[in-house]
Amino acid sequence: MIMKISCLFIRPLIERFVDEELSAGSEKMIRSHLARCRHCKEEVRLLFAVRKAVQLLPVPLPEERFWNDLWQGVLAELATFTRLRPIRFSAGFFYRNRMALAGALAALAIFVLAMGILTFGTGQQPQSSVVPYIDYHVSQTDQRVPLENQLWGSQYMLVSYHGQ
Amino acid sequence: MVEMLVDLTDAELVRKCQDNDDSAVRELYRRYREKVYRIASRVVLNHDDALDVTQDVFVRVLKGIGAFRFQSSFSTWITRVTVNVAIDSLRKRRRMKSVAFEAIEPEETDTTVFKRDQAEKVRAAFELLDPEQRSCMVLREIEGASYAEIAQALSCSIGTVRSRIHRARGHLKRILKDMVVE
Repeated sequence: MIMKISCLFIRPLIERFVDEELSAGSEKMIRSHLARCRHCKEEVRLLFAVRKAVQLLPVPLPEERFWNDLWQGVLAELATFTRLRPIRFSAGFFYRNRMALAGALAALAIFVLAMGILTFGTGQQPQSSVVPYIDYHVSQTDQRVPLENQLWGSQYMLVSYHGQ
Repeated sequence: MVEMLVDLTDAELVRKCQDNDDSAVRELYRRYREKVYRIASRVVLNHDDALDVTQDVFVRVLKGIGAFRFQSSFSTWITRVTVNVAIDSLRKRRRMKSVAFEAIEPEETDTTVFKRDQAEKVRAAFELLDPEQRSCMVLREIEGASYAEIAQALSCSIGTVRSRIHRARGHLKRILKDMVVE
């Protein structure tokens, strides 16, 4: 198929033409082109045929009793879900849900408390008995003692502390 | 009372549903059941699954109607729910490898345009489309929705909708072209 130069400009617009999305001027231009070009006319015909084919896909609508059965199914499903209206935060709402609200508040309080303790601690300095022992040992150790011996000494103090 | 409900707009009907008016809920179901079923059956391509999808859509819509804030039209919202439920159902069914489509008995079609075997081919080709492409095609070609409405319903951009429809049309066009050649 040999496309004319004008077809190259028209083709991208053909789908929009079928969808009736073009301005009156563009539509007029397409129509005048289609009157002269059988290739583009065939393209338009195919697009309309696609639409028709999709529309003709068989869809048998259910009989009335099916609709009724379906409605009963919907109602049965909805029976487990009683809330159809939006939540309105009235006094009645808080009264009806007082236990759930109390539980939620308690959970929130515990959470806040736990986060506070984790973040700021209990307010007391951490008590480490090991570190002072090491500091003491290092300060008492002669600076001329080789490093490995100092480390050994620290280990010794730790072992003796844990083992006391 | 029923006559009065029939005259109400969707928005008025939804407000009544939000006030727990049972007859309004029933009217909403009556008004939208065929639309929901039509879209569902063309996306899932199976009568039984389409009925399940329809039921699921109404359950979801009626559960969520209290929170509906009229930011879009009710029609757009229910279409969006339908397409999403139908696509989910299709994915589940594909995982279960169940039969597709045979359950639909062909109704009286326009035989002057398409013979039965041709309709079968189109149907088979339609089944090969992605669920998203099929949803776009159903909303565009059958429901007559605009690109903007489809984009809103499927929560994607207009460009995405345009490209999905373009690809789907290209695929179906090739099938139809081959039929003409035959």
